[in-house]
Amino acid sequence: MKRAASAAGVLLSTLALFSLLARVQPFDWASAFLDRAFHAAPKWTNVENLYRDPETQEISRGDHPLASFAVLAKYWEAHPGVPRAVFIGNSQMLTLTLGPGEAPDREPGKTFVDLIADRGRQDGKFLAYRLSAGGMSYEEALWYVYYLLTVPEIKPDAILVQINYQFFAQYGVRDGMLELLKDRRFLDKIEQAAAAGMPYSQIFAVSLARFRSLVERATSVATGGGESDASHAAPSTSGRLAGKLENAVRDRLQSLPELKGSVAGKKSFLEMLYRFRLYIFRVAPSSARSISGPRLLQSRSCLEAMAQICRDDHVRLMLFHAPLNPDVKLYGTPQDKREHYAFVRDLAARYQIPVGEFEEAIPSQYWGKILNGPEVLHLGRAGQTILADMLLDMLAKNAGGKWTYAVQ
Amino acid sequence: MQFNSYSYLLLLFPVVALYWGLPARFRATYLLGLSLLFYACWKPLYLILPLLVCAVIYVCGHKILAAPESGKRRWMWGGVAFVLFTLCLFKYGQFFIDNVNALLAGLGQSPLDVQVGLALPLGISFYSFEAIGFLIDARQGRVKWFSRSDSALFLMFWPNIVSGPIVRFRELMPQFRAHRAFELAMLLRGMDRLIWGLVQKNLIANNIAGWVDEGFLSRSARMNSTLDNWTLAIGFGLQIYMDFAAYSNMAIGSAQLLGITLPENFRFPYHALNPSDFWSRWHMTLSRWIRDYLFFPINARFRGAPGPLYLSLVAIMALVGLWHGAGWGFVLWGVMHGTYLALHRMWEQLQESRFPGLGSSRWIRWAWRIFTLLAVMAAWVPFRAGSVRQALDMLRTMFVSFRFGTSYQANLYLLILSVGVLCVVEPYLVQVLTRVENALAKRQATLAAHIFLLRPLLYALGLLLFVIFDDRNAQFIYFQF
Repeated sequence: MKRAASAAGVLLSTLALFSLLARVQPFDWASAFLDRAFHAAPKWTNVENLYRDPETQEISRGDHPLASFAVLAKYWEAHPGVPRAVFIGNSQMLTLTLGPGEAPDREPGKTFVDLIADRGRQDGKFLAYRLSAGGMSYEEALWYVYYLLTVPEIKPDAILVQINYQFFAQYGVRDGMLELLKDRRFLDKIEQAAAAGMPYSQIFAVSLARFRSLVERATSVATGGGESDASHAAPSTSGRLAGKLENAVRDRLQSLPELKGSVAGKKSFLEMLYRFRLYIFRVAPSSARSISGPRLLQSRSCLEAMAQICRDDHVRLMLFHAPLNPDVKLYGTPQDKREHYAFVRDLAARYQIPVGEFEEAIPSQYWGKILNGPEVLHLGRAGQTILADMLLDMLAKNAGGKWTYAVQ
Repeated sequence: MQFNSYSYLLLLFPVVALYWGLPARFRATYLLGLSLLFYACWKPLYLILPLLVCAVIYVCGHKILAAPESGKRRWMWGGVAFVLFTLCLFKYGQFFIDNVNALLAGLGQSPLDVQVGLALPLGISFYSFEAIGFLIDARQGRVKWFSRSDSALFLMFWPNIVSGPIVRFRELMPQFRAHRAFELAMLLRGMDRLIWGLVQKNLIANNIAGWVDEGFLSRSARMNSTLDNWTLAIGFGLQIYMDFAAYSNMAIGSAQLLGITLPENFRFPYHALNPSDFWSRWHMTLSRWIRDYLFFPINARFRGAPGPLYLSLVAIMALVGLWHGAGWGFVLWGVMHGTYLALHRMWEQLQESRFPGLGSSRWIRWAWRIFTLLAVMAAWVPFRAGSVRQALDMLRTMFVSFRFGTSYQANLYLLILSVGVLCVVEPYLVQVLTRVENALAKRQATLAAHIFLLRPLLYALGLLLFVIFDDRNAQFIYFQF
């Protein structure tokens, strides 16, 4: 009896401590400790109170874009005949890191796309939409472009894609964006792209397989049959009964706060690891590097595909080099930069795409700090305004007859 | 039902509690019932196959025990032939037909219009080897008596039916028959293994998997640099170790909760001193099965003659490769390991006869150690690659036509480096933890804090990592074997 009580004590203690840890997010503490130890910039420089508007932003940041697109479709439907522009890019579009001399503000912070959207809306001349997610890969950008061109309700007149050398090393399509495949028309397009033999095709094929596997598991229809171990696809061990049981258990557990916080917990843990990378391994966003091999080729082929399908669908594609902190050298060698620019120039020439040359457009005095190093990509308030003006100018110059807006 | 699923973890503890609450004489029957249910959760119809194998080894086993010397042999081979037939049919049937068709196509003939169309039954490679081992043990007098339910429980015991460890009848059955009382140490040891397994799988193996899967896509593999391919080979080596060790830990932990000790499968394999040592640390229960039931009997016939010894090493390891999966990449992996083992044996014989002084050289020992590590990692390439051609392309970039640069984000290289360091310090970490545990166990007050606070805190942290890195889609690599 005493042994049984001891065993119960161990299990209960484990459960209680698990519950406690899940609620207090211990990895946040570890991150805060590391920040203090390595003299990171104060937390308030990274503005958390950001402007939020589902009519002009994909607010899930790639986690649940379907709901966002439903809102967008309604909004655009209510404004017929107004030209529409979608901005696709990475965290530069959704982050505000205060520059030197900039103080926190009570008003929600706006990024350059928000400022552009405001201007368009004020004048009633065009509608802008921000479609961005942290660490967005060019496969994801292409994924979005395919979707925008497939669904008529949200088909824009212009798409502006941010070009950022370091993001040519990003890869894959995140799970959240797979839900777009629920649209049969889009699924057909992606299936075609996956079978097209392009450098990104295998990645789309992997994403399709992942989507099907997720759906199969969620609906518990795994048959367990027909698998072969000649490939590396493991036979389904869930089976029909186990899959149903697992789903039922998960449904019940979903409401527990310990499990609800798992997404935040993962983010918190990864933030902690990121700090280790930064402080211990000294690999920062500002570390220069060369990109070569399959990822470079895949990313380039995605841009090429965007150019092709936009031309085929008569949608104006525009590219702009993302502004970078001039104090930071991101290219591994001067040759990397030359080749990168040459690729973009060549692509632009072949498809008559306007390119905004903004990489060195924001002077170094406008850039703040990220953790314990110079900010590389995320702009402060002044920087956001400068970039917004430059992009508005670009929009006006490259309206292709659709845009009546011009910078005053 | 996967070990790293919520349903398994939630069911496990009530099931274990009931086990200990039952009168001892019912426990084996209870375990058999649970094991059948566990297997049926995958696909009830496929329960027929392992039960058929159970029936065959029961009948053949009893005939072996009762028959005269010549009859024993016949019954043993009869049983082994049946088990091998089912294994070959389900696992290699389609592979065989595909290769015949490739051959026919090469000869300009029309292919056979045959599809085997059979699903690979879960755990067939593992329980088939256990069944064969059982029959050979019975023939050699190492199995004395057993009942119908004994043979069924031996083969179907749920913690190890899917992916091992590959057990022997004589090490498992006495434990089922012993009517032990519950001890707190069983729970603690079981939880240690279970939770560490969850962390190994969800936090480490799954996170490496995404990178490795991308890097081994055929298009990526063609363009990877030398450093990329080495990183990916090492990455897969670490992934498969963490994945399979995780499964083994969870299997051993689950059994431990029931007071059953399963044999170990891993002993810090990447610390191996040479290729032979690697196989005494990697998938240990498969190695000993191969050694006892294949290698020793074959070499006993040749009385240790060097030529046949080397050839048999390569041939046996090629079969081990094929056991892992019906593909030529697995065979190539086996041949590479067989060659490493043969080279090491050659060196040992040469060193004993010509350079006896070199046996104690530190430099030679370290050279073997480094060679083993690199050779083992290189061999993972054909194991993981989609085809032999892709594997050869990648190996060429690794060894012959060097290509400079890096293709992936710094996170890949840092992740592999970090997990590599974890593998290096793993044995020392275990030593430190054991010392801490022993020190805390010396005093009553610290012992209680250790059992009811410190250990649960570590378990809770492990569970938290399991939950936040939960991916329902991630299966264990060895499930496919």
